[in-house]
Amino acid sequence: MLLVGLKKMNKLLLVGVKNTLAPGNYLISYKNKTTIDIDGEVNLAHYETTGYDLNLNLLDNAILNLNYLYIVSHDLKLTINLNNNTTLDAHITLVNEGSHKIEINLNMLGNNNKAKITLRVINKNNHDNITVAVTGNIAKNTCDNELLEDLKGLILKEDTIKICPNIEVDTNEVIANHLVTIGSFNKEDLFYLKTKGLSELTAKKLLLKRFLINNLPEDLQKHLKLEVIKFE
Amino acid sequence: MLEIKQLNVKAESKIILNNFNLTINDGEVHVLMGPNGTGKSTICKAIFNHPDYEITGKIEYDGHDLTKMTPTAISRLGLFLLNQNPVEIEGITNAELIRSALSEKNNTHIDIFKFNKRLNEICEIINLPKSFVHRDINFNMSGGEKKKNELLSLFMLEPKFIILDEIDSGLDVDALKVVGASLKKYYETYHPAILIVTHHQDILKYFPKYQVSILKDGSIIKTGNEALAQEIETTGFEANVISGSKENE
Repeated sequence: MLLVGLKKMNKLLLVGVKNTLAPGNYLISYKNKTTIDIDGEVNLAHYETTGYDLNLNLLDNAILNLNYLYIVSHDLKLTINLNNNTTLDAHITLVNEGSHKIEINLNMLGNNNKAKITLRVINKNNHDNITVAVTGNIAKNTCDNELLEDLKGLILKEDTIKICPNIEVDTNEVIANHLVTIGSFNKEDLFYLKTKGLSELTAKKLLLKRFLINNLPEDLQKHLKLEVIKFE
Repeated sequence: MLEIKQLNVKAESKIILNNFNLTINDGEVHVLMGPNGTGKSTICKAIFNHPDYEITGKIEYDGHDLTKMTPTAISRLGLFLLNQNPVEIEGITNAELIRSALSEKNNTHIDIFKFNKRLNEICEIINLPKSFVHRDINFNMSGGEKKKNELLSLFMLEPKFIILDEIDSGLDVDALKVVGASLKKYYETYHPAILIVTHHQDILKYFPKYQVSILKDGSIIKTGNEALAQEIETTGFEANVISGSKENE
């Protein structure tokens, strides 16, 4: 299936198990485990609630700007394969409810690929628990690949966030970095906002919004529904 | 009136303020000077009951015991803290912060048109580009821009008691003039009490009259008026600290 994008964000329901996206801007949804080939420069936004696995294949010379919001209700696997001369800028936001495990696999199969994953994770309820394994795999005999993982979790109260950053490198010519931060609200930020007269609840809501919204385009922000999150 | 009596402040088991006493009346400007590391910034944050501090003694404002109040409640009494190094908060704009603060404080819906008009008026007063209203709080701003940016909140929140922790540090000559003139205008309009922590006299010339206290090792060792600030500028802290210590012996 070949889908042609328009100048504005195209809303697409993907019905096949394998799809190809030509250059364009897409807001996608699907009802099964789905594979999408990215052919050219694609801006892809996806709001997921049902937990279908997604495979993205960046064909040679493809550029993918991915914005992915998952209101986590099931375990899920997201796999991204990069072939040759591709660029990936992935912004992944997970809002978890319950106890779940998410696997994100990024496979650099060819040469001269550049990938950055920015991940933001929160739990919705007090005792929710999420594990996110982010694995970057840089294949043997490849060269000039760059990978950066920027992974952050914000603990709201007594919930648990576990982020496992893995980078498996099977070649010498590579630049790979990962940054993982899991923590609560910054105490000095909270103090500052409170000295301006904000209640603790409002200060936390603003800081939470900041944490998540910076990682999401406008099309996806409306799905966050942060008002349901309890801090107390 | 702010009244601090026999105040001791510890952070991470280290004593920072020790038997600190200070009274600042309504409308009074009080200057706190002292060498680096003597606890000047600590007193500013202790007044706002910073959660990292273990505080014993009395800090009262208009009869309210600040040591038992949250920073939010203290702010809503009309106190304002301008920190030496204001935090940068990416993703929350000045307008968002100030609108939320006013809305919560007054428990009312903010008329957005009046709010924006007032913000624009204040930008004119403090010589701040109007675009700063919608910039993230102090994010990617120079030292001088941060201080002016904080003045935006100050003018909007209209506090009765202002704490300025080294507002003059990092300001070039022109920025100091703007900040000084803005504070003078605020003082003449609203007559707040002001606690100024500084090392220099430059910011003080915008205030006609003030008291000066010198802090050493967590306690005030000498108090005076404008002449004492002048003396510090000329002879340095060391000479005054030594003579101040002798005075107290």
